[in-house]
Amino acid sequence: MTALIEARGLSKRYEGSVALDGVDFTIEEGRILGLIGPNGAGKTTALKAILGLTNYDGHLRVLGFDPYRQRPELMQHVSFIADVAVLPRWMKVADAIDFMEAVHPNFKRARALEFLARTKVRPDHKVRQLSKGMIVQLHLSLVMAIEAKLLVLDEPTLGLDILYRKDFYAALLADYFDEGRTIIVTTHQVEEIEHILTDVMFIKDGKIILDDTMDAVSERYVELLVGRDRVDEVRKLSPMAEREVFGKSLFLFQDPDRDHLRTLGELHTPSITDLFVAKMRGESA
Amino acid sequence: MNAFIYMLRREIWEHRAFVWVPLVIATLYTVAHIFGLAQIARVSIDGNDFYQFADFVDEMAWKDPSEREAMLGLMFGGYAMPFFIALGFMTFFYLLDALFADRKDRSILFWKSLPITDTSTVLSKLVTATVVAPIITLGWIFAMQIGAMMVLTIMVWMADGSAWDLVWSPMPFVQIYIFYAYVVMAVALWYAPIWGWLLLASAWARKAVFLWAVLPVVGVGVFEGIVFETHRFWELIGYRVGWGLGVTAFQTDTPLGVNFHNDMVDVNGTILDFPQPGQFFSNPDLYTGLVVAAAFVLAAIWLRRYRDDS
Repeated sequence: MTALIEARGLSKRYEGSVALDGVDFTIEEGRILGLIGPNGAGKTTALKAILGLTNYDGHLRVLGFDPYRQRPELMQHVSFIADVAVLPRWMKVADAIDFMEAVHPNFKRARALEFLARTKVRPDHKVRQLSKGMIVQLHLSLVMAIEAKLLVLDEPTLGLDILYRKDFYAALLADYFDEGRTIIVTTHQVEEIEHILTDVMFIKDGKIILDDTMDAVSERYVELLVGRDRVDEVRKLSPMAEREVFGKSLFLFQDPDRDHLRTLGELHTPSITDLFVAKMRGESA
Repeated sequence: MNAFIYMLRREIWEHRAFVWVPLVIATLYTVAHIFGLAQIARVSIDGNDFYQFADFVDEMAWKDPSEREAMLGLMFGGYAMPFFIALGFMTFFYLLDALFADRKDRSILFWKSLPITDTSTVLSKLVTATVVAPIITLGWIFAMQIGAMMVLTIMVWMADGSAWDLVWSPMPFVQIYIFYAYVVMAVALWYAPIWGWLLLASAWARKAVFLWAVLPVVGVGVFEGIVFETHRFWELIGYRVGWGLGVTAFQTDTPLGVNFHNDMVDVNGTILDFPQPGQFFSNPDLYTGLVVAAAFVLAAIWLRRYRDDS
């Protein structure tokens, strides 16, 4: 496996605030990484740095390019959908396809048409005539028709209804993703992408507080469900978090002695959402 | 190259006014021509016409072919004036919008997701303003001129003249379009600092782009007036925006043109006597302007590339 993105001491300061605080991370090829964090945590700043849209301090290489200096070269191999509908409203669908074909060496027209044929978007539509869901479908069709090594999705399903959201990720997995491709996705709806991720990264106040594969996460973290009578005993084992579920107590542990825990109650694999909540609370305590 | 051509097409897709504004003017002209024809027809029928078009046709038939040619050149060449004035206004607002609108509606995130350099983006706007939009306008002018010649043909027929001899054969299209090409080039080069300034304002402003383009200029002029009690800056702006192009690129001190008096037509010179390329290209002010324009355009490219506008 090769490192697709490599960041060392990546920092970004805005007037009076730190968006990224000297973070290090490596993203390998062929992964689907969920970048998860609260608003203002630095997610979008990290993505903007990766896409060459903003300057930064520290070392950052994406596909071997310096994204800020070599954005046009980098963009031959990277595609992205930003967190807002950004397709120009005056543009006609057919013109958008012609344009992409002319300016993008890795754009495959036939694929774009194939994706669009499955939607209600027609070539003679203008973007302003489309609903928000259709605009996202159009944008995804355009982006999936690019033979890119890296696809960046920043809140791609924001404002879409649930049917579109499910289709969106289904299409992404079925028609786009393969071992030569890498996807980075950020979203507030963690539970929506949890099942497609291979890797997960939590970011908070400009720092990375978790960076692991999903396999490692399910190995390292465990939830223990116990009855009321054992609560005090479990608390002594320094759990990360505790909450009440149907009259029982649910504890979250990091790197625990599983055999011992098993004697106390039921073990479960925590969801990313629960882990996220626990991590965010834990770090602020 | 193909990519750049599509970037130019993209500009026209977005700014359809470059196509339909000259079309509207051409249509108005054509309607006016047809009404003119109807008017002459009516007057002829009434029999009390103050100006006999037939006499005019007769007179033209007697004139030297080269004189006919010169006259048609001056008349038809002059048709372009309202088109060029409209084009000037459109270009002004187009360039103000060019690097601003996509930042305002955030579609810049789409454009920046494509492997296009910021330099070629900015240059595509400049080439659209100075080359593509004028060519579209010239296309409509040509269509309108053909329409006008057809109207004129009917008029000449009604006066029993030969439309081929009087209109089609002497029409100096080559002269007229050399003249237009010169005008387009002179406008592009002489006003280059203005185009560059507008692009810079467009790349710079986060809002109120018009004010960013205009207020600094007014500010410098007012500042100079108050502090130094001189008007050098205003004179410079007046020269560059106003009368400079006329005196440097064109002949203005000879009575060129078509004059009607006592039912007689005088033609002085041809349309190609107006352009003064030697004088234009030997004027150092042209080159000073181009250097300033290059600085503005480079600054606009720099802003487009390095400022975080997302």
